Amino acid sequence: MGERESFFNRLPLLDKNKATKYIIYGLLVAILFGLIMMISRSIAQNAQSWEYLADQENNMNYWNGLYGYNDYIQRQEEIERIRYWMEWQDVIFVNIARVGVNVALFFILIGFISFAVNDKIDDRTRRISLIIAGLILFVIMFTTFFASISISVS
Amino acid sequence: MKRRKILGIFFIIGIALLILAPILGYATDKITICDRKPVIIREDSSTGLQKAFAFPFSLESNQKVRVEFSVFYANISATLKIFGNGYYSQQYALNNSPGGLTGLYFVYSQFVWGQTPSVYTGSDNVRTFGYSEDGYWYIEFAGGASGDYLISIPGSYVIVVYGDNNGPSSDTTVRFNLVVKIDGPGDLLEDIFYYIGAGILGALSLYLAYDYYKKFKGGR
Repeated sequence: MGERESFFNRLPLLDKNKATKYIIYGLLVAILFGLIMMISRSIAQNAQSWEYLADQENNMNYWNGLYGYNDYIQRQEEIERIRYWMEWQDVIFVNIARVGVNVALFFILIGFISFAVNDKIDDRTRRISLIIAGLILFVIMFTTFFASISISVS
Repeated sequence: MKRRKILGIFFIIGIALLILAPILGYATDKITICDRKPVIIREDSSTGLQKAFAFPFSLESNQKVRVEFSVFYANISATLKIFGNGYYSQQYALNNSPGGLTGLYFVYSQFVWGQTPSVYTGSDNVRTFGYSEDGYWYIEFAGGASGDYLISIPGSYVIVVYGDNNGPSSDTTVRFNLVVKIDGPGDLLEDIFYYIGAGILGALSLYLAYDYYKKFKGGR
């Protein structure tokens, strides 16, 4: 009977440099998609403020005689349409960002797992890398299956 | 080096389009098709349509015309109506008095600072300035009106102005100011410029990101 292959030996093996690059790629992509998501969310949350500003500008243009009542109404409808789009784009970009961040986390996970199974690195570093890989896996699983995380203390 | 120049040119074009979009939109939002101060006609304009001032124009779907009609001249009474071209041609041939004809409905606006626009808006089919009455009306027309709202009816129309002078008998002129503006391609041009400008910058960003990724990958 041959020697039983250990769990670690069955994992994909990346050398130290490649693993580091995977972690860096992953971090960069995660930061980029995270930024996109935060900008999109900020636009959606401030859509109402923008609407107030646009409405006031519309009123002042009307009072200045730049256009008449029906043009004023047309612009009001246009402002409302843009406001709805500002709120809706959040759904599109957040979901794209969600996919991007999860893909990036997967690359980071592979990088840390590779550190964990690399027998050329000291044991302490391998243990820490394994713990971090586990945490990342937990985040990936949680964000894949749950929309949001909330903690309540009573 | 050549590639950098080309990318730089595209970048400048994209930025230029984004800057030009609102300027072009504003500049071509309305096109002035008549700007006359004053228009001079005779008193007999009130007795026969053939002597009245007439300004023809055409409207497409969702297009409207803005008429700024004002009288600031002594002893003048002037009236503005808008007719469909067919009705106008028929009445013109008969040379009927414009006072007895029924015009199409339009919306007029008065600009009062700090007040809700709908309060100072109304619709009518005639606007008149009396002999001792100076004034200015901002009129919107799109074919018809229901309450304070325009109904878009594409077609050919005619603005007719006729009037009277109750001054000395030697003075038979009727003077008024008329500015007519029509919807231009401003909105469409603004949108096109925005989309193309943003599209160029977006495509450039993707190209540079992909280029950087290839260099980073190739350099390991």
